[in-house]
Amino acid sequence: MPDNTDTKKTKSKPPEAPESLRRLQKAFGHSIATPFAFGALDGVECQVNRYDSLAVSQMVGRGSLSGVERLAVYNQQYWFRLLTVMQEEYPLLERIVGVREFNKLVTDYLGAHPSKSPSLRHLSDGFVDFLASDAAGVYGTKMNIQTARLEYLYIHAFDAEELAPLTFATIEQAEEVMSNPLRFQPHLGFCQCDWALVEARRTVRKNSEIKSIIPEENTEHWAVFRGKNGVSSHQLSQLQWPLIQALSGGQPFAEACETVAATMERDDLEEFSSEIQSWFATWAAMGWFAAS
Amino acid sequence: MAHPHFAKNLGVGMGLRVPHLPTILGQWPSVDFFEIISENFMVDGGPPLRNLEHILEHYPVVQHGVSLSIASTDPLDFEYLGRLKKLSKLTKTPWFSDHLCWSRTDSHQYHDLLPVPYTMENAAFIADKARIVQDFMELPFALENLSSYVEFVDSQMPEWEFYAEVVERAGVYMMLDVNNVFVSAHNHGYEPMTYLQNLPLERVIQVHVAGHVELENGMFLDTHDHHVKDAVWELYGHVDQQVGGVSTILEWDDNFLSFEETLAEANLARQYRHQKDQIQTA
Repeated sequence: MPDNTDTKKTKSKPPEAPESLRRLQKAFGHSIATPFAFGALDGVECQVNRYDSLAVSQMVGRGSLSGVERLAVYNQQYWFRLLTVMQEEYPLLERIVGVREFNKLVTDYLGAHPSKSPSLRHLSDGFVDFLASDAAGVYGTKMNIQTARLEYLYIHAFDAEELAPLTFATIEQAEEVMSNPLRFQPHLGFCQCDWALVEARRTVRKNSEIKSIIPEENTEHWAVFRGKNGVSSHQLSQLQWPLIQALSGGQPFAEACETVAATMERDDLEEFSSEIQSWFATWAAMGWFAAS
Repeated sequence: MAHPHFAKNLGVGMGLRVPHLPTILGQWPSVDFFEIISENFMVDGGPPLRNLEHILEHYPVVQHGVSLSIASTDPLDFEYLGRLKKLSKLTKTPWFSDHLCWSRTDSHQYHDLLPVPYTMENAAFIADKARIVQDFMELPFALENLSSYVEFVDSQMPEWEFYAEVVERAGVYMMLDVNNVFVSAHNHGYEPMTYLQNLPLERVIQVHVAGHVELENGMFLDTHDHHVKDAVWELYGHVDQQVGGVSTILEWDDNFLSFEETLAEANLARQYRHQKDQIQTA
């Protein structure tokens, strides 16, 4: 236990924040979150004329640097830090739109959705929704939204909760599992892409020299999850995808199979019937299902 | 100099960083202790926690945070503190530390370590919060001095007086970052030794050393991505001498060196220590 015997003063009621400090922090925060001005080329510039006047009036100049120039150090660090985090987490989207446009997009996003979490891991929690909203303007294309959604799945899968895995030792237990909704692990996510985004993402992550990429058109379905060796992606077939959607929607396994089978052509139905057990076994082996 | 009874000298260690995990988890090199960034492990699951559990089987670990925001006028975040406390039960950290700064206001997180004017009113306010945090955590709490780049018109005292006032009022401790002392002294035009000579060093329970860079405008920026400057090592030696030996962590957070090179940098501390201990090898 801490030794507080020499504490000068003791009291336990919640402290009252000094009003002068409250006003200063608001002004300081507003100033350092002032967006960069994006130049015609790659350069950016602090818009010091937009800093809060209270914050500026509190700054002391020293040596060759004015108070405002000192405040600008924090403004630069704020944006360098957040833009870097987003570039690292959305490497494919950055290459698709280009780094300058990506930085402008992230600036707009963080202006509308300032970080509320102590952890930078949650910085982009509202990014996909922002891209899909009118606020994203020209950036809200289908490809950009799908790319952001895919890349967010990788972020989420990294350290999301992992529940006890689903296991069943007897036929009776298996029947019970099949007759109730299956529960997916919280770290598992699914997405449909109209471009080969996973392959494009692998490409840009392997080669940092690639500054621009246009993914090939291709309809794909992916699961992103955390396996024993880290975050992985697994491609789902056209036949598997509706089953996954039905299961995600809360249908028990048997019911989901019936729902999907009812919509299939004969050839597909034969393949579906013959493969379904091995699909389930594969997904279970990858640890996708959690005990209810 | 009397040292807090719980503050065992853990030796010389380094911040636990992802690029070094393969070496650490594969070779279990000899390191006195590691420091973790608490927020990186306040997660629901995944590799961070799994790796930490392995590391705890082999090394002492201390917790260091970056998001407490003790000097914010926002109320304390007890959801955050609850997660921090839960992590401390896992790590069995002998103490925990965070910065004498604010990082959020009106719930907006700035993800930076921001200074406040050095006034008695602010010191009293922060000390009250620090005491509540220490009581809640049921662990010794150490506040770290910042590297800072601005000075405020409203400040009534030098940083060292403010720092001492907060920790003494609160009955908490000091995580003294000697690189931050050096950086701030340069940026604000005072002698780093003046800073150290006016601190209640008996409250120092851990020390940080790190590298910094000089910006084009002449300011020093605390970047943790360069070697520790000789002048900083000299300050470190002074503090260690005054304190009678102190737990020491090298922080290196970008432009990473290999594990072996980073450990070698940390081990330079042993040349300046009050009680010379054996050089650890990877």
